[in-house]
Amino acid sequence: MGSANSHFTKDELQEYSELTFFTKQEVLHVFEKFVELDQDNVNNDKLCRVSMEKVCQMPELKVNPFNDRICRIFSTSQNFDGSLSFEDFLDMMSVFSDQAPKGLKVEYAFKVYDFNEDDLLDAEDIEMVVSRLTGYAGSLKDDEMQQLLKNIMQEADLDNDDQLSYAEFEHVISKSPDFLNSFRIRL
Amino acid sequence: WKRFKEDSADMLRHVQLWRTSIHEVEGRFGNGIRSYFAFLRWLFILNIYIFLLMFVFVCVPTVAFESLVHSGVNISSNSLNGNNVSAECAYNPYDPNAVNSFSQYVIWFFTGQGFMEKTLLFYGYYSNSATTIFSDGFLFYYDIPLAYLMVAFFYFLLTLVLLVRRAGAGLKESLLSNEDRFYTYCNKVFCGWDFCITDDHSAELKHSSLKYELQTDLEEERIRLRQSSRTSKEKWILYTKRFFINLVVVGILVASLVAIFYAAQYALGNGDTFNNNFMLDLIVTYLTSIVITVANFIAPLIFGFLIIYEDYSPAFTIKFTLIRTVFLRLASVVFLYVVVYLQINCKIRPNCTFCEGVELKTYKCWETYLGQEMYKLTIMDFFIVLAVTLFVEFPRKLIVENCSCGLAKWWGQQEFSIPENVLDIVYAQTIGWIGAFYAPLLPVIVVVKFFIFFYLKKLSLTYNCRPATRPYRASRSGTFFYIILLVGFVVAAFPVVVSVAILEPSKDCGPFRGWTTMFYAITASIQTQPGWLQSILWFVGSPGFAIIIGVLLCLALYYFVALRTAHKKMISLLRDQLTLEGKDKQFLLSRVTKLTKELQD
Repeated sequence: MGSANSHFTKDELQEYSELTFFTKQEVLHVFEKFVELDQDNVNNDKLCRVSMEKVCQMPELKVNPFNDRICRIFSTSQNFDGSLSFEDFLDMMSVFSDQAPKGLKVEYAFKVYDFNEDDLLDAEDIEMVVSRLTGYAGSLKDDEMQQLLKNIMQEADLDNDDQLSYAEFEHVISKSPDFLNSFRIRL
Repeated sequence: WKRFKEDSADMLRHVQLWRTSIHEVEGRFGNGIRSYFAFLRWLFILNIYIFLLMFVFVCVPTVAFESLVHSGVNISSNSLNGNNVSAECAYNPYDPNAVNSFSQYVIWFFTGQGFMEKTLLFYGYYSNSATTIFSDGFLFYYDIPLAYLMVAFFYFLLTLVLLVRRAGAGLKESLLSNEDRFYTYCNKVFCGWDFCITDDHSAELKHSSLKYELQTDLEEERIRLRQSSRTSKEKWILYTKRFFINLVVVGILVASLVAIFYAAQYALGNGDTFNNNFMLDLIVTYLTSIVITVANFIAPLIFGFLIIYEDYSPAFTIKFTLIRTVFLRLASVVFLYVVVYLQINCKIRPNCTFCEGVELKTYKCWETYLGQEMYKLTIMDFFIVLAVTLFVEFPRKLIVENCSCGLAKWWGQQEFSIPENVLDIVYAQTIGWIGAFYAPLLPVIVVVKFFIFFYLKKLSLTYNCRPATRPYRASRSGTFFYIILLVGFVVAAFPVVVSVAILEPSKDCGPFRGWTTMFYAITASIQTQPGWLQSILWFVGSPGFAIIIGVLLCLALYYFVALRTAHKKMISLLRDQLTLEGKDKQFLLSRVTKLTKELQD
């Protein structure tokens, strides 16, 4: 704790805690976690970027099938390699914390699931999501996948354009009782 | 603080018996098989409770008072009724001074006769005395017959309460999940993954369970579609098929009951004749158990084979097979009870002359005989399951893996059949409940049996079985097991209640000897209470009180039924509102896109 304190000034901590949903104590805790990811580089320069591979080694993200998507959407790096600076990391943890409001989580969930980044969840995206979900257990057969897609579109696609816009996604997810419990990471 | 609460809830869940094993099973084989093991665990704990009740309140005092008599404490046990039976009719199953061969002892151990009858295991051992201990001005009074009856009453009540709670909770859950027809797929796909999972093993389990759930839902939908698209000609053919198959099922049922009847008669008539031949003796005493177990073994195979032709959805197939097999098994146990009672207690038969109503000198204590039958059934059941697992499933796996001949391919690898296994344990438990009244230490045997079953089944599952090819909805099956158990409970409670209230206990054995009914133990002790308490208790037992309670219950029932209809109407109203809202959104979205297009042009 002592060494972390020396990395930030009081003003910086204040700013971080105002901009995220964390208290100052929690901000420092997140920084500790960040340091663990890549000790040498971060101790030299707290503003450096940690590569995506190292971030995904974190236990909370290691087994997550969407870890690369998460890193990419929070990353502000210029060359789109998914690397995260401390501010990106803090941002990510803040969205996944318990205090973040539902609307914000839904927005980010949409981004995570949108694999081709066209602001729409089409059949391709959903197929990717399902195959990531079934993971090691092997994927569904082709006809099962088609049936599943049809059902999802039937449930969620209100304007019948075979893809889910953000509004449609939000409409479905906000009704779900499990969303808040699933979509969080506790440090 | 919140974290502490969550951690402690987590830890409590960790401490649960066999939690890791069940978790593993869930991951590899799905929810349905998991619910089987959870059910087994629940029954195991229930039996431990029953055993503790019986042991602490009946067995321990009996043993304690006997040993205290010899140790000089001021203790006196008085028989609660003075009837004495003449010498030739006295109950004397075992003469400790006689010399018997070792094989005789072995037979006795397995059939519960001879020296086993004179142990705590059977009803006949317990005395009908009330014991008073004087020590330093303290008066300790303990009435064993009353204790026996009250303990039996309590463990039935306890079982009923726990069972109804469990079945009720499960029913509520399944009703709720049935109502939630909205967005099931979206929910599973988008909110299915729990981002809090941190270790590899849980992640694997989560992946497999998600896959199973999605496949189950899709399969059920396909079947629903197929069922609704049947032409009426197909329907007629199906219905006739079903009718004939049901006739066959009823025929099998009747055939097994008849077989049990003849077996019971033969066993009772010829119990003593083969004194020299050890094996034959054993087989004759075990004859009824053998017949019942064989019938219970073959019939489900036939049922399982037949139900494929009836083309039901997977969930219903399982339920219906369960219902049929349950009916067979429970009917056979009750039938056995009735046959034995009719044979031994000969008040009903016209020409019985000997010894105050008992025809056969060897069966003076019909309760102990019943206890012995239950004991034999339990043991036989255990050995059969053990034998099937070891000698059928293991070789099957070896054959299928190593030899690639046509027979192996047709037989296929073993699939864990949930209905049968659930029924095995429900049946074992029903026997346990009936038997617990006539053989107070039978719950221990059942506890040990279930313990061994758990590991045996888990082993068999892991090594021999492949995951089910027909995934099915698990949570509803879980509730269904408890409902079947409730049926088993009623079937078990009924004979015991009848025997307590109506049947006459044996004259010379057990805690209720000499009275007209077993229930007299309670009336006798009521008569020793102060006057005001007596009149209250008499009122509670009278028909007037029962009528009042009945009327109140009917009113409460009517109220709840009315509430339920009102809620259902509310639910459908709200559903319609939701669809309307969805349509509104659709309309607004299309307007928005139109306007943005116009703005862009």
